[in-house]
Amino acid sequence: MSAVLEVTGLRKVYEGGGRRVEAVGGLDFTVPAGQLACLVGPSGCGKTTLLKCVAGLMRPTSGSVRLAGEPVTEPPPDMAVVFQEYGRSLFAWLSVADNVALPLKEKGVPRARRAELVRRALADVGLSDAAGAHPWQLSGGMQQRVAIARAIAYEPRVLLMDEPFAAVDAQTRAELEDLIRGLWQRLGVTVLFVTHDIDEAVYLGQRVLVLSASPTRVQDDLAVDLPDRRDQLTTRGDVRFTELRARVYARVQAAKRGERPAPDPSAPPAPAPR
Amino acid sequence: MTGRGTRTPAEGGASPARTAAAGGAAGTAPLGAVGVLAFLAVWELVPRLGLVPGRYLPPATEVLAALAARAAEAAFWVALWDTVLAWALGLAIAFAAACLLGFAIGSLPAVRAFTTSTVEFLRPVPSVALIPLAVLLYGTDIGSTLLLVVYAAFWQIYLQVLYGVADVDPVAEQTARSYRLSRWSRIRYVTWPSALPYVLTGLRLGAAVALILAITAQLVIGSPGLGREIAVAQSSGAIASVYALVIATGGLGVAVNAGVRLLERRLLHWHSSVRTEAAA
Repeated sequence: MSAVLEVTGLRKVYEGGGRRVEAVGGLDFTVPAGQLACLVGPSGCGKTTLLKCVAGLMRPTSGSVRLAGEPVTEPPPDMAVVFQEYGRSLFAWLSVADNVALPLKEKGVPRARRAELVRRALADVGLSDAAGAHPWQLSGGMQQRVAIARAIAYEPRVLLMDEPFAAVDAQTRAELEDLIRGLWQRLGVTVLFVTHDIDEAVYLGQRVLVLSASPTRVQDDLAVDLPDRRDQLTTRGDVRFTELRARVYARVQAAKRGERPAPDPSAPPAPAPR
Repeated sequence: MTGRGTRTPAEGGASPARTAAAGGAAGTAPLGAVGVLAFLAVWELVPRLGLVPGRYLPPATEVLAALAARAAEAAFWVALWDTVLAWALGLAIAFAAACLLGFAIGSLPAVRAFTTSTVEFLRPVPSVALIPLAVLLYGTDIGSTLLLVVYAAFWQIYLQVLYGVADVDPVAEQTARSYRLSRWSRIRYVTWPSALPYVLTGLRLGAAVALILAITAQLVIGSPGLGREIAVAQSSGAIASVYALVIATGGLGVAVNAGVRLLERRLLHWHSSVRTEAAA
């Protein structure tokens, strides 16, 4: 499998007001085409910074991100991002269908094809009836479905998701997790899913990358050898699920205590954990 | 895309629609009418009882009769039209200039910082202080009214546009960038709608100030319009007519405000300050 996403030596240092904060410190990983990889880490570990660098929304201080071999210096055309704050990411002044259609219009997709993509994407997320509604007329879970529809209608090669279900209730979250698994299997898109929820990472992913506390490095990288068909009841009750969950949990706890991954001889001494 | 405004059942049984306090206005309308009548009654009685000499304050019925007499004359409507024209034209010029400059300067932080001190100096200059300049430039025609109206309304709108442009949600902006919307598309589909509530607030403030300045210019400079009619009535001792014309300008103010409010409700139907369950 060829790597569609390559992150090499990614560092991001914020400087300002006399303070210097290293948010991401020398991160390396690759994601092969078609994989669903979850990034999990303690809160405040620089996940969002990392995701913004990968999305081309933020310039890293050093290191590089490559999408299908091409360096990412601005948001690439075959990548879509689903943000956590669906209420702010969707445009309240546009209808649901227009929200989904806008990126396609910008891309120059012809009208008929656009209508077809919008119709199909909304059907895929179970919102065919809501095309003419405004996002704020829908519940939180439905709004995030609209944002997902907008992302898949864009037909990206890589889908980035930044804690997309952190703001919805537990039942809706379970539904949306299954929706993402289903879409990923059907569309063959590569998904990089950032979350702070360990259960969610193990349930969704083929692979879980555990991040260290800030400055972020990869603490652990484990394959999730659960069957491809997953469902909320049996998968979560599976002994293997519990084992994986326990392992990820232990690694995240270690990261919180400030334990570092295998020391990098070239790296400067680790600063005191904040 | 078909079936505009479809509402779908919410997940988890919660109602997706939001309710807004829409019933308030209907409930207070009768009380408001009674209030106006009471005000007119007091106005009628105060001069009739001799509390204030009728020379300074004619009774309400006399003023309303004078207003009716004025409304029967073509000159009144010409004056009204002149005032509305100066107001609308001045407001339109101020609005266009404020939006263009506000968007251009607001989206360039360095230029904004560069111009802030100048703006803070020019903004508080009372428009009426420009009257001599207006007379010098345009004499007593509509040009001098326009100068004052544009100057006064411009700052009101310009400042709101600057606030609006600065208040674009960073998540919305990042979403637009991640989908590779061009600079122009981001202005059109993200910045403009985000700033629209501010723009319309600026328009409402600017519309009121524009009317004040239109009347002032006509009153002081003598450019055509209701203001000049008031000055003429005053100098010829027609006190009831003065009051009648003042009422006419007040009515104009109410109409202007109601019009802009209506525009706000139309254009901001999606905004949290306006949207209602019935909007779908």
